[in-house]
Amino acid sequence: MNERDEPDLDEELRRLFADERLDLPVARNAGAAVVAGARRRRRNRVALTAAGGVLAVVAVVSAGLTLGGIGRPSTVPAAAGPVLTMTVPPATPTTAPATAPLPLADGVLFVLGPDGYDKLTLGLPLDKAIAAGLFYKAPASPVSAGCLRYTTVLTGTYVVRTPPGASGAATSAVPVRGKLRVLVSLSEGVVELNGDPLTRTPEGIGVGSPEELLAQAYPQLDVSRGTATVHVSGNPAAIYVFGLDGTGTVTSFSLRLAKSDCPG
Amino acid sequence: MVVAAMPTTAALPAVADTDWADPTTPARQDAPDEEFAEFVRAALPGLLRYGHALAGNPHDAADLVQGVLERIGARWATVVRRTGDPLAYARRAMANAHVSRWRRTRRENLVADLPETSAVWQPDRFADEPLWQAMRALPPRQRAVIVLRYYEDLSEAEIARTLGIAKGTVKSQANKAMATLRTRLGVLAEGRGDR
Repeated sequence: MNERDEPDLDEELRRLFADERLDLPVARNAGAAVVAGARRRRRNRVALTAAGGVLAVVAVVSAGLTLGGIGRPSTVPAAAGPVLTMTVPPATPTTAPATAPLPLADGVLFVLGPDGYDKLTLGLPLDKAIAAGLFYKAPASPVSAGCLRYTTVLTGTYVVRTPPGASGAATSAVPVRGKLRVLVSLSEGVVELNGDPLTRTPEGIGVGSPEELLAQAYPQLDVSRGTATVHVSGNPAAIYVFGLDGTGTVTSFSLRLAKSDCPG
Repeated sequence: MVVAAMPTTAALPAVADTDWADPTTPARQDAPDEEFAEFVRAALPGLLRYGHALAGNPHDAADLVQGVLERIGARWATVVRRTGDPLAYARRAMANAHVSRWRRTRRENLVADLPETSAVWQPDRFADEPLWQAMRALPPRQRAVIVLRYYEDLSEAEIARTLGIAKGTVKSQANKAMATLRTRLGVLAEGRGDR
């Protein structure tokens, strides 16, 4: 193959990209799902633009676990989840771009640990998790023998309240969605829950946290080669694994079984 | 999976990937949505195929398509008015999302030491295709350049505009990619003993 010259490779690439195996089947409800997703994004933007003129807002977060494809709760009870007060960085109302992302990076939305998230706990057998509708799609492929990766969607409502005296809507509710990547072993059940930027440990550490805060939150932290691990308070079988990028920030974190056959 | 029906390995327990509905979305229709829905219906098969070429595996392809279409749908009227060609815009957005998504993924995977899903996805589909296997070795920007050049038949200048990089960078990325592909193909051929 080494002796082939460029025109052949050109041709090969064109042939490959014309291959019918590149075609993917379109899911039955794909159109509706995309339209719904677009509508949700539009609403979030509108809600945030409405809140854009306020320098400090108080946010109340209620979070719940979506039962993929099964449950369809019409409202999320306000008292169901963690409640917090947070300050959103000042935004200049007139210059706020219409596509401003949700200013949630510092907000604790979904707390992961010490056992798991809501019904999705470490060690939960795969068949029970599936029966409970905790995963919304089938795994792409086994990660390794006997280990599968699923995705779970977390939904919550982010309520933005303008302080007294400010103009504009008093309250706007913004639906938010988080994701957990879940590693499941056929023999051990749920082995690892990998949080997205909207999830935090009960101690408030998550993606984007400075390493200083991480060390403060977990004095027993064991750091080696870009990874920090610590035993989970309240669950002796579990550890938190934090990824560090070398510049002082947590770049990923997982709650996982301390002992497991599945690679982390 | 929402936008693509994923084949599953028969021996594995699987969840039906039918409608996973967003519980926070009230059922409500209006006119711009219908126009956008029509666009999605027409564009989906082509975009999934294009996403597959870009991302290298069906799973990431579907995520890529869904994310980009949702963002376009959220500002549908603006996209139509400003670009005049939402399909071309969608493809450009996908190429860019592919490149930046990889940055994010790589950051996560570097630290969590997760195996690349693309490396283990569906070994049967392109298992007998050394060139497809060789393309796994390409970093996403190089892969995007190759896809834009050979799938989309774009010129260097058009690729540069699409990805927001200099023409010289397009050239060097393409050269690196082609060199890597040639090397990989050589290694794969050697591995099979039919050099």
